[in-house]
Amino acid sequence: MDDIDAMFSNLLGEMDHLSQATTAQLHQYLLTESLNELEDHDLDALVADLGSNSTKQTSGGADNQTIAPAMTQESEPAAALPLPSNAAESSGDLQMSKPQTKAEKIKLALEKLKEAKVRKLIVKVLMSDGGSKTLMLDERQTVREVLDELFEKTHCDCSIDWSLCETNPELQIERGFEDHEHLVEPLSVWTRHSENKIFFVARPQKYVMFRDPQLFYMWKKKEQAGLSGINQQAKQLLLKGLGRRGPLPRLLPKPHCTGPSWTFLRVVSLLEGGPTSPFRAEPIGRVPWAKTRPPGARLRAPTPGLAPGWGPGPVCHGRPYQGRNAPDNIAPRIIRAHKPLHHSKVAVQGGEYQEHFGGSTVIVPDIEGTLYLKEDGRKVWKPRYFVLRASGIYYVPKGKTKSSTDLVCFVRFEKVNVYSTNSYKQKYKAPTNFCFVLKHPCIQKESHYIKFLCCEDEHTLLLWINSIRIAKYGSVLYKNYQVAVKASSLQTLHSGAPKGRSACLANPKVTLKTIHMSHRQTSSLLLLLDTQKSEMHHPPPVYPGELQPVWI
Amino acid sequence: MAAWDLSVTVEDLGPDAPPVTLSVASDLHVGGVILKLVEKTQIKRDWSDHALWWEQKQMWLLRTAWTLEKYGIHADARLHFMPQHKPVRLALPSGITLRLRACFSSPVFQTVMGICRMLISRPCLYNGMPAHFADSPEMEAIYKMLSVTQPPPAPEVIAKQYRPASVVDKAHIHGRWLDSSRCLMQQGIQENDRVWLRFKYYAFYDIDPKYDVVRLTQLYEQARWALLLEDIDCTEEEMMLFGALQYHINKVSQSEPQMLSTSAAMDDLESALQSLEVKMEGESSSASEMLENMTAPELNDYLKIFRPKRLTLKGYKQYWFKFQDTSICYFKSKEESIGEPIQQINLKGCEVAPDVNVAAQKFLIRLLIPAPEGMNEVYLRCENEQQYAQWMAACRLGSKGKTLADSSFQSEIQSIRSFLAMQKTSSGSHGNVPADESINTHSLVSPRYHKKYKPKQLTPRILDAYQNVAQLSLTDAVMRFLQIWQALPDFGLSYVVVRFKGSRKDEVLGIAPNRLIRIDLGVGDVVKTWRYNNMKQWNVNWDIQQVAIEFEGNVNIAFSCVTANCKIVHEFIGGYIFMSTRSREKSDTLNEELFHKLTGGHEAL
Repeated sequence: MDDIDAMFSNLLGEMDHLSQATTAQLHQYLLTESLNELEDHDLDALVADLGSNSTKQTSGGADNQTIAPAMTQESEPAAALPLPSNAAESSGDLQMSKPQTKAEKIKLALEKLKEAKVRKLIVKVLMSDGGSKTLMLDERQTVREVLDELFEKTHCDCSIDWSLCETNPELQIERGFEDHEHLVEPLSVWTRHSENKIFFVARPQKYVMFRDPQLFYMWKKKEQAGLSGINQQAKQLLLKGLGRRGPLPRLLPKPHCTGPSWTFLRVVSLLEGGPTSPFRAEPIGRVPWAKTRPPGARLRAPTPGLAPGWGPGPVCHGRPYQGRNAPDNIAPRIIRAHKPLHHSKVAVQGGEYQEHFGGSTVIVPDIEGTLYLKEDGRKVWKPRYFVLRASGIYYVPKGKTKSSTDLVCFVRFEKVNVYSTNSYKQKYKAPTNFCFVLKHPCIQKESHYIKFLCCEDEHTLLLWINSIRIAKYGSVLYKNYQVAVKASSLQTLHSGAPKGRSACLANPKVTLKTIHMSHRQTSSLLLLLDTQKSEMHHPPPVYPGELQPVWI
Repeated sequence: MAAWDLSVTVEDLGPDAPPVTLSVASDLHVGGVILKLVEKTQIKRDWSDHALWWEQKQMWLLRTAWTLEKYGIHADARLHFMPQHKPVRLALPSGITLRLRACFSSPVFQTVMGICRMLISRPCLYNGMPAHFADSPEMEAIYKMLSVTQPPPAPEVIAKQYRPASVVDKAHIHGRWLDSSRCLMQQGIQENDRVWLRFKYYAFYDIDPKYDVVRLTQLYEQARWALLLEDIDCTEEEMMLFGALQYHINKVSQSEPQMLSTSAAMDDLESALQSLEVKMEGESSSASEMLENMTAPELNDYLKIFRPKRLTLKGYKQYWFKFQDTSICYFKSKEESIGEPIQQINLKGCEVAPDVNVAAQKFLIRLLIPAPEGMNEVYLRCENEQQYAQWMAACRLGSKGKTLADSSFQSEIQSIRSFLAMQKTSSGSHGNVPADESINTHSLVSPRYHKKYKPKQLTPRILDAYQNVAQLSLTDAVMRFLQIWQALPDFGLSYVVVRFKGSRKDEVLGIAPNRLIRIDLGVGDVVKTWRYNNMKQWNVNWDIQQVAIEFEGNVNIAFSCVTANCKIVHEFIGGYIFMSTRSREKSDTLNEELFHKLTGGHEAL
């Protein structure tokens, strides 16, 4: 028992030591290198984020003068909200005081281990107006959370189009991060001297597949005839078709006790025959029914005046017989106008379809067509016929058909992301500028492991890139979309409220976050910003800043 | 009223017994006829299920209050007195045949509903299975049979089965669906006939893995057979994944057959989480265990490494390898392993591919490691099976960003070893391998790939796909299988050969859950797509067997059916429309009347 105790205190001590070391390191860096280079507003933002980290930070690196004013500044919000800071202290006490039981110790150890592993990044996000915001990112933060944070900071319109987007100037590519991604992850693969940047921009393409599903699910039609007149209702129906197989697993069980709860009517017997049947050698008549039932026998109605039908008994309930006397000889005897169903479908939009299936399959648009492929390391772009499937992109080998069994797999989506490109006509002598790239997120430089594809026109490019996203992310994308829609509608509600109130709402959130952070010890990686340098390198106003990663 | 003789064949008297002759008047009601009949036969038994069947008119006389006159029965009528429920042999999607009593007098729709209610429904659960299954041990056995997936069939069985070679063949099969608005008796089904029970509509309403165990299992079986028999096409990569999933599902269902039902017993996520929490809180005694769990097992050994990309003529070089977190480091020797490694390779996000030949004792791990400059290829060579299984498992975990402390490490090792065993047996003695020990990989793929690959060649390909699914639970694996199946472009298509109005050649109409497609028989291409969303109405002319459909925007199509009665097409369209209304109502009861209205044809109106 004592051994374990000793082990624990050792472990805890070691971890404390470790985390202090990293904080100290962090500080040294922050102080000596970059903090004085940061602009004032950047500092403020940082400070707001770091929040109650202050106590530790000051103890760790109080000897520096540059940081001192900043720190006093930042302690203000924490003081203004006594409750959170108390909470921070008490949890700090908990760490100091000797844990009472072993269970507590274990918990603490687990927590510490977890915290020690949490990576943090400080990033500068560039705005479309040329400005920038500095954020402290936690490994566990999703893009969605970062977007929400940026919404608060920028007071933008919060539309669903806002996205974070990375650019790679070397490859001249860019990609909008998906809302569910953990932002730190893709950023941490950037190289030491990367010129990559993150932008906070509105990208209308982000959820184009949900806004204009007909573009993707009826793309063939578009080629045949203009598809301008599609109405909102039809779009929703298409979307449902998309969601139908993209359901979310249901968390709460349905009350199954209501009535006979079977649901299984779609099973219908098949006559003897079919695959295993000994009948298979026997040719099936053109109308197999005729064999078993001579039509004359039962296609006649039992009484004249009733419609000719199979079964006996009264047939037309109040519907006049129009059978063979009807002018066009098409007797509208079973008219089911769809109107009522049609309308009601609209009402179900969103939600219902998610319950069909516990999984996450989404119908992938059946995009196919000729694309130009830049083959590994070569300079020429060769046309090939490509087909998109849920399992990847395939191409039709020469002299073969489009049938599934002949297709050759070109790429699967598990390990690659899709990027749009910028002026590849010039860079790679592509046939058009409408190219896209598939690559492993780690690859940052030109390599023959990057797949280069080129489309005939802009619309085809839009179809391919976004259909690949549907194939890669499936129903997650739809969930992201729903969350985004919700967030944007919430924001429009809030925007009506007086400004003071919204500020109140914003503040606790920030401080709460900072309390969390006070326990987490930042470990390895820090991205720092160097605005002065960037302005020298990149004069155009679109790229006003540069992110320079620094590895500690 | 004048009395006349009515002769009735009573089934219970035996097949050779002469008909019983009754003296009746036209104003006698059917119930009276039955009463007379029963008195005359002098057999004491429960007649409550019996009813009269009118042979010429192919109809049951179920309205006992109706008079003979009202039914239009005269002395020439041939009537049969027999039970309404008769045994049929029901072939399930899994290939199992059940013998059960089905109703021969109600519409097939109701008959099927009755069967499904008994076999597949999900009423109140008792020990994870529908309550009525617990009534007797026999029923319990049946439940197990229905809810557990069948082992992969022998390759010979697959090869022997009928496979539709063309879309026309498929259309012929779809021409055989029974009419759901008429009874079995009316469709010429005899006692003890064999009928198939299949999912007809590919719009699966509200599947819940917790409650629909049988349904899910049977759906899986139907999907599996559709793939094995090339009823639905897929690409080679997809087939390998299906194969891997089948292998996994079989393996898991053998090791944990109660998995599906225990998951049903687990009330919900919350309680699962709670029990997890309890575990995490832990009692004091488990402290050391917890620590043990947190420290990763060590893995280090001498391995040989080769980098094919570097322009060296050197072959494999031996180093001391050490696995750390998600990376491998290597040192010159074990003795020097304290210092700086020669290199550290982070495996996170890398691709891991096996290159194994057990017979040749070749155990190679091919790593494709992403780097800013591209991918680096690294081969690791292991000495033996044991070493390979460990390092392969470690590399796979590493590529997923997991460390060796992850709980799946040991099971990963196990699954790799079992796959190696598979390769061993399939390359060695071929015919008589005990079924439970290993599976011939030909059992997992369709005959097309039997021709293309030997079992030995298939093993690494399936293994490759397997690594992505090896950690799935049984339910998840079945769900994944179904999802990939659903994602196939041809999913859910039922075919009918039709002749479009104004066209001179036969074409194929594909009926999917959300659309109709027109397929050119010559090329096999989809010529046109119509969605139900845009459908305004459809009409069927039963006399000339023609279906006419009107879509929004003045699009009208009309066709006559060649390989099926147009009632089948009508039922499919109506059925899918019905399905789309179901999700809206969101009730557990079925609007039977609406179904009949939509699918029944003019009889329903």
